[in-house]
Amino acid sequence: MSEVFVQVLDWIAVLCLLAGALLTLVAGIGLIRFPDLLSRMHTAAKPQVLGLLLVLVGLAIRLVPVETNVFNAGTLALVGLFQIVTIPVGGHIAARVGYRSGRIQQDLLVHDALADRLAEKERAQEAERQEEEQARERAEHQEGRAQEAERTEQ
Amino acid sequence: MTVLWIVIAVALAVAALLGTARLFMGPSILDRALSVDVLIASAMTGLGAYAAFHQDPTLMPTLMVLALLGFTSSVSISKFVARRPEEYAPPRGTTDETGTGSQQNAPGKEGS
Repeated sequence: MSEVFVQVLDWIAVLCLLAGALLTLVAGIGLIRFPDLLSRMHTAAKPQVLGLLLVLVGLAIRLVPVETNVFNAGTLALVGLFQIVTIPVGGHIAARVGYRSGRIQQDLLVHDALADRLAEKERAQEAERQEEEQARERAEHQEGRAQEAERTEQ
Repeated sequence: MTVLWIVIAVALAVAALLGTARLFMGPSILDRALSVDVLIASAMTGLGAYAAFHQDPTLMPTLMVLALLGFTSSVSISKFVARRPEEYAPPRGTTDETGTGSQQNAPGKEGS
């Protein structure tokens, strides 16, 4: 491999690493400046992952001229894949728990779609319950009538 | 190029410091779990940058382990909070007036 080619690769790698480090810095700043849990979750999930992937790409490019035997770019691809798979899981569960235990600032939300759906579900359950109650009342009523009829027969 | 390496290192260090600050400040336990998540990810970024600087592929298994285990802490903390939410946060709806502070769920105020 020629000297110039290696230098070009190094420059590309350093630029990738720089972009990744700056994105990580942005994630840190967002973690401090954002007001509530959901927006902080945004900064943990998006710029952080992109920065990490850029760093992994830079590392892979930087390792091109080096003789590596077992751990090579495939390992880095696996690392990136695992990050992409696991970060949404953590974010989703944290957001779910935060919402259910009331740690969301409602005035910061533009539109709370989940609340709409929950209200809809609650309304449906309420209607079902009322229907059941009516049915039970009707049945009791009929039973009472039958008992009365029996009594009059006696 | 040396300047760029220095900029990379400083940016990563500042990011980790900001994550630590949120870890100390974070009003609720979920914020702290989240910042631990971010801290682990920035540790991975730092390890990657170190490996790239030294052209050293032996750090890759560490990256792998962190990628697989990094999210377990925040998930397990979330599950723990989900089981007993009333100890760590006021009931739903009372958060709005004062923000997401943990100040208002001081012990003794829960009422149960």
